[in-house]
Amino acid sequence: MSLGQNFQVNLSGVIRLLSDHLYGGPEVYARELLQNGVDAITARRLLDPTHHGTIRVEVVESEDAKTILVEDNGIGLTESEVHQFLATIGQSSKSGDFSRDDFIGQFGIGLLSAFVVSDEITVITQSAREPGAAVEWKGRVDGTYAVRLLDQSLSPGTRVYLRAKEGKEEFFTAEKVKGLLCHYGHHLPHEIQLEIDGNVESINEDAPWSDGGLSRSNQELLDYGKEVFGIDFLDAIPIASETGRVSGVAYVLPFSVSPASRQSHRVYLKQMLLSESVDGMVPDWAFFIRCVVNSDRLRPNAAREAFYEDDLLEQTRAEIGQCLKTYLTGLAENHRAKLDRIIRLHYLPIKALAVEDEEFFRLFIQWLPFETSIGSITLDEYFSEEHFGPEATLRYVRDLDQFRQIASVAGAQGLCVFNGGYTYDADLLDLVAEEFPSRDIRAIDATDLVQNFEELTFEEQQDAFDLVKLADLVLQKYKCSAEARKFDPAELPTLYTASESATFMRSVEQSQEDADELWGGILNNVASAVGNDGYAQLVLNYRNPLIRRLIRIDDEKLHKRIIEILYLQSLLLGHYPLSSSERTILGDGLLGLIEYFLGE
Amino acid sequence: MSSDYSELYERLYQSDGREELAIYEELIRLADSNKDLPTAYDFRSAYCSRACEEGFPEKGIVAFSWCLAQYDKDPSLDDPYNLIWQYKVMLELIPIFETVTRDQIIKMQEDMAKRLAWMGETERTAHYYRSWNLMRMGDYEKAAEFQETYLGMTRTGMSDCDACERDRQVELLVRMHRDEEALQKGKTIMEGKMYCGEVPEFTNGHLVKALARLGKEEEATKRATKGYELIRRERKYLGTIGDLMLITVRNRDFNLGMRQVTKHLPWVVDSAAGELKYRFLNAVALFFEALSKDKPRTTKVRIPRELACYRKGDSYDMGELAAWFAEETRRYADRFNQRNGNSRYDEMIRDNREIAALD
Ligand SMILES: Nc1ncnc2c1ncn2[C@@H]1O[C@H](COP(=O)(O)OP(=O)(O)OP(=O)(O)O)[C@@H](O)[C@H]1O
Ligand SMILES: [Mg+2]
Repeated sequence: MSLGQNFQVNLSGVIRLLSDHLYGGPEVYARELLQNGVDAITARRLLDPTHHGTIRVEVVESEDAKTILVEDNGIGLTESEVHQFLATIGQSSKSGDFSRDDFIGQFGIGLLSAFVVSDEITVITQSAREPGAAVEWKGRVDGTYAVRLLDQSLSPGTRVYLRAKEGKEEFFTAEKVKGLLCHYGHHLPHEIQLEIDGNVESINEDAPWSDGGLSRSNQELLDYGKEVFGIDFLDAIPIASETGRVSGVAYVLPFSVSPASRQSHRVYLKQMLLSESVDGMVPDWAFFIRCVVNSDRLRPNAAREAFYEDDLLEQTRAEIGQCLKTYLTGLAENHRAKLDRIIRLHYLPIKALAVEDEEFFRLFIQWLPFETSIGSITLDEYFSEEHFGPEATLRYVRDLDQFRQIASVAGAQGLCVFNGGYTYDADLLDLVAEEFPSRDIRAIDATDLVQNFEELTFEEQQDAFDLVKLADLVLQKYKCSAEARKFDPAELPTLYTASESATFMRSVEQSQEDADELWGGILNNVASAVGNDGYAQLVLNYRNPLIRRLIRIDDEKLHKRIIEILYLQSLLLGHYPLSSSERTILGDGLLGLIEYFLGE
Repeated sequence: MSSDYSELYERLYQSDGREELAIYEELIRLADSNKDLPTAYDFRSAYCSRACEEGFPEKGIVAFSWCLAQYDKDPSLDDPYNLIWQYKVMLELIPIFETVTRDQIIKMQEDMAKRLAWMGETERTAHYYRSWNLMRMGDYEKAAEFQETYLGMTRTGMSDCDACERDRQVELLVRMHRDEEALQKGKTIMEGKMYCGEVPEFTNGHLVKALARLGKEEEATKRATKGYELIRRERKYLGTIGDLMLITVRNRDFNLGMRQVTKHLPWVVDSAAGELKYRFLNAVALFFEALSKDKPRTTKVRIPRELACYRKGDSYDMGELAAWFAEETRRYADRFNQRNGNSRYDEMIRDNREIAALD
């Protein structure tokens, strides 16, 4: 079956769509013209490898018009090619299978970007393949075009003339054009000349990778990084990927960044700047790296602002990741001081990698810092003789909340508890337990910790007996037990600790306050699946003067009130919101105390 | 938003897992003590989704219940679609708690059905969950009937994605031992043409069983290996990890098996979802049983202290360990059987033995 009808395309609409919405901004016209010139030279050099390519740009400002001319001595076009490629949107001379890898362009739409800044494009071209008259093509933004043969032949190559449309003159000033050419084209392998008022200047600058290998010194690379990113990087690392035919430099940021931060890499495609903010050039874990790279192989997306996400890119990313890993491993062997500086700033990405990569984990784990109740410490330090010794038990809590409950109090006793609440840390500690079975590593609850506080002597126990017993009784209705211990800081009268499940039970009760019968029942049953080892305790500090005075007072009613208030105050200190009944008790308790004092 | 929140908020974006949940808990406490109801609602709602994602469904359910009660008092707190979408997640999770009764599950499912009808939705989504809950409670024939019914109706904005729906169909077929059909149905998923955030992650667990029973050893092993890579760091897949471990046992791959047991047993300790624990514990029991038949009886294993079978010194008799885990599995199976009013969980234990190539 044949379909006889053709689609009707509203050309001016399509042009507007592509030119105004696909590309980032009006500036990209300069990139697209450069790109076409470069490809034309590449094509000519495929015919004649000795050909010396040049792109010449001229800015002409007159009274009533600003014009620019972009001229290349590339392959040029014959008349029929003009019809076929220039005048057909989506047709490209470069999309054939043969040597597609050689060219930057591939979609056949780039020229349209010129319509963002100009209503008319004039092209005069002479084919290097076929002798004959030169061809002139004029295309208009409304989608019409005209072709005519000139009556002479020119030297091979192409000239593109643009005239600024109203409101877009700013993109045609000498200064702006120079800026754009430098921006996109400074590392191009062909000569780029800019001519203004008869003065010619060259735009080209060497790229760090331009001589094949990276022969620049580390300091030169750092200077280059400073120039490009305006950042004094910690280090520069040459990187390469065979798969993506990538070479370039990775820089280590001198400040910490969030894993969620956008990676902005400066990326060149066949030496032309693709974009300054390409994401996804390095593996996710390497978010502390900024790089400048050139690829001769990866495929750009249609907007030419990023690479197309394909297997090639994925493989390239992995190879770049491997370079970074090799670098870090090298530091571990030879430059510990530098490595320590990097770890101090970038322990997060390094931990991220260690969680994923066993080999890396084994190499780095002992140097990574963990937060503990006695400050930041590495495993190396922890198990060293000066600290706790190789036989020491490593205790950690799984959850931030638990850590906060006990950190300062544990710290004051000189007890070291690791905080496993941060991203990666619990995972890493679990891995340590797996990898080093001889180490004694255990997750604990805040309530377990109290067991490490100093016990009361027999006499002291007798002394505190009545108060503790009463407290236990009073707090029963809060599902909390009481106990007396000696701990620092002595100013703290009580410490409230709750196991994870006790904290969970509090949230269940809170939800139950408003739940209907169905949900009340469901909550009960879900809670019972968690188990009722939900355990909370109020530890009275026998070192605290207030508690000691309380023991001396012989007034059960007053004791009850004060115990409740101490309990509620510990909750508030621990940022636990009070339930409505607890709020009432706190209010009543305070009023009761006032009454008591007034009555005295 | 006040500056109190904003510092925590900043940290929220940089965290995940337990850390993220802890920050949400703190945000909720802050909003509660400020008596800032709309903010407390939003935090709980976000916390609910994250908690379920991170494999703490019990925390999600508690937060959701609070949200639902507040929403019923003041519907301006949320977009009803948003709320129902979360309700769907709850309904999906609730039957995995053996302590929640059959009656409660049905009532909850019908409560959501009423809400959907009130919003002008067709009964498709309600039927979908009827089918889901019946399947989880072992009533396969009725589940299949409801599945037939919802598949005959037009999808709506409240429907789960294609991939999820397909996953449920595959699971039901595998449970009913209709393995050839299951593979047929699961073909597009296996080929990677149909996927979503949780597919093929969940589906792999069903598929390996069918593949193993049909004797497609190589495919089963490949799928189990790839599937395990995908989920090995996510607690919410504890049950599926158990399913995939059946293949590890079937292959008598003791190295891999020991790594899997050591890595995931600690998750059992603070997991509340009985069904996930049951599936994993069953695989662990079978693993130790296989080990006891092949290797010297005493072996070193890292068992979390919290489990009653823990022994100081870490040396265990494999036969004893296998018995202990089998007993634990049995305990859960009995509770689920009692809740569901049938003996499907015994059947699953038998099925798993067969897949693990024991006896
Ligand atoms: N300076 C030039 N010299 C020779 N041919 C050119 C020149 N500029 C454009 N062309 C021809 O016009 C075609 C269309 O150019 P255009 O920039 O729109 O697309 P492209 O470069 O093929 O692909 P892309 O959309 O990726 O840029 C090219 O394929 C090429 O054949
Ligand atoms: Mg082009």
